[in-house]
Amino acid sequence: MEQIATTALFYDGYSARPAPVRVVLADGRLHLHDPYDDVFIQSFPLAGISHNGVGRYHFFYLDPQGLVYLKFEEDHPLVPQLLQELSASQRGWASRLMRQKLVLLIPIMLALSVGLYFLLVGLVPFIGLRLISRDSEITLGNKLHAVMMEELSFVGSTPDTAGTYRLQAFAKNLQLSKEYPIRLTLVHSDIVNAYALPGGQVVVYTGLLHKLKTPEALAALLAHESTHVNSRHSMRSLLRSSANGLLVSVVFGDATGISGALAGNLENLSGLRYSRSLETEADELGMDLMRRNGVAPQGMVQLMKTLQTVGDMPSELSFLSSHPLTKTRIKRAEQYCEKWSTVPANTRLQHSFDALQEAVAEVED
Amino acid sequence: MKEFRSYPIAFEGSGFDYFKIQIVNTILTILTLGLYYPWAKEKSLKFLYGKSTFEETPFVFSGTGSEMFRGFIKAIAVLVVIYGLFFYLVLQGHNGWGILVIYGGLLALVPLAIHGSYRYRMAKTSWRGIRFGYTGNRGELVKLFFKGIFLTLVTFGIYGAWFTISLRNYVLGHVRVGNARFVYSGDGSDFFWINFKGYLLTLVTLGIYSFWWQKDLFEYYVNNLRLEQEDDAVFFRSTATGGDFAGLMIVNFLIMIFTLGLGYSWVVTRTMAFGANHIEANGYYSFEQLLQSQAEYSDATAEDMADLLDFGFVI
Repeated sequence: MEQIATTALFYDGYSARPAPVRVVLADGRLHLHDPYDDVFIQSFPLAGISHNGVGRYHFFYLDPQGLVYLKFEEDHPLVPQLLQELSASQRGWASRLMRQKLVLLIPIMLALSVGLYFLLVGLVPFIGLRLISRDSEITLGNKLHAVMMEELSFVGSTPDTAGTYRLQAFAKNLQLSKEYPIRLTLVHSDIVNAYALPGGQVVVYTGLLHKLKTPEALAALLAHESTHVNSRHSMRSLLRSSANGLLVSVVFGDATGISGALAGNLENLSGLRYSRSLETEADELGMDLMRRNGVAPQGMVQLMKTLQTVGDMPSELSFLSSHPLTKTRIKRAEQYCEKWSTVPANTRLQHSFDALQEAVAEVED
Repeated sequence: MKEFRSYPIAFEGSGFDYFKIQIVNTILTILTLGLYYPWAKEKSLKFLYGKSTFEETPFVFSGTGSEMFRGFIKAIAVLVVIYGLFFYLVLQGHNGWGILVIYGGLLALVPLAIHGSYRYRMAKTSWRGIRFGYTGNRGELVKLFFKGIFLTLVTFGIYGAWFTISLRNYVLGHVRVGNARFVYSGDGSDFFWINFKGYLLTLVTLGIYSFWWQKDLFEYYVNNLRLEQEDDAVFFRSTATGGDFAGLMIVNFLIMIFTLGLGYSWVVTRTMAFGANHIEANGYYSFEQLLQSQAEYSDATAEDMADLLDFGFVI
């Protein structure tokens, strides 16, 4: 049997003072002998040995804690064979990957990142929407609403009680949601704004109401916002961006990222920014909702054209989150309307609309 | 007669090798949906320790992924309880109690995490086969911590300098390597003036002085540290200048920007090498007198807690 014997420095894990030993590599084990009288000291299986080459030396750690080790000079004759046998005895995914070239590893990493992204973005909202009950969504929305109403006074706005009553009366003509109690609040403010919170709270600003000339346009606004509620768009956005945060923390191994992403996105719930695709969905399902209520979907086109003329808008304006209101959205709404014959004007809606506008005008005076 | 001599310190890891480790870590972390994280940490730390040498002998990190994984699960469980209690109280309308639980709970975890992570990290660090150890007392550290927090609050932050130094004196002063001990002899008022001067001059010079401030802080850290065994000692001294720091930090910044973060591995190895190249160790001590004296300790809960709470290992 082939044996290579030679001397090295041995650190025994009790003191920092090394002792010379004669090392014999045989049978997949390292055998240590006293260099003077050749008395056998101890032997170690190669499978449990790890290596570190640094500076002018090679260190072979003989125990898992790395306390007992051998130190070889860089050009020691035993080192090449020892390294070769060690590398053959190493298993596990990490060592296998470490043997590959970077040109292979980098594309693997990129492909996996992209794959994981699509998996998470699909899976997290799917599971999340099933885990979060409608009741807790409503509770959460109510809490947010209460906070936002309190904050109104800081920007010099107030809820308009009489107007809110009239706005609710207007909405009573429509069935906006089967699953959620849609509760409307009219806020007295010059800002052109309206938004929906998760669970059914919808807030409309008088600045926007003034711009609307027809009951159909108002119905379109309410239908659009109600669709955000019905289709749980806030929850979907929240879950989707949490999935992004999750991806970042998985890829970069940063555990705090998960809670950070969640915290950051909770803000978005009140920030009310939706992706362009969710807005388009709210437009379309909103027009479906209008038709089911016997309201002409052309109101949506009127609403969009009205809003297009408005200059500076608050960035958090839900309806215009794809700001400026894209021509595609208007075009799509027009195409939608062409498919349906005109719906006769709804007189009850007109009546409630007039009452609402009157009530708001009175407060202004 | 004892000989006064200097001990070489070096970091010999290449950014390229570290980059490859990071890529493999990322691949396995994605494949396991994040569960590989503790093993990834093991691989990174083993590399960084193994390429850091003192007297041409590398350090060894012997912590394992499975220890840190078990610790990770326990640490997560503790945080889940705290956050769960917080959300429960807030949803029940007890906002005040909820905030008390979350701030109080997280704050109380900080000294526990420092204590536990030092115990774990030191027990898993060795040099020449001799284990490091941390012999601080948990109760004493908790007392020191809350006293410091209290005094920092009532002095509107001024006591912060003394607080930092008292923690450092305590924690570093309880680090052992075998039968030798580290001593840190910082003084709160020196530290306060370094920061006071650093802050003012940084403002006046529109940020340029920050490199010199950084140099002072590094120097204060290194120069007050020594290793003792009986009558022998090894002293540490920083040789870094403000200009050196400017070079390190500006180039690191440019690497991060122009590689879109992919160059992070080089930032780490450059910084490690900078530290090693700018610390001198001189003294009378012969390291052959070191004996194994510190106990084994394998509970990584606090180590993972420190990661989760996102504060660095170094005090």
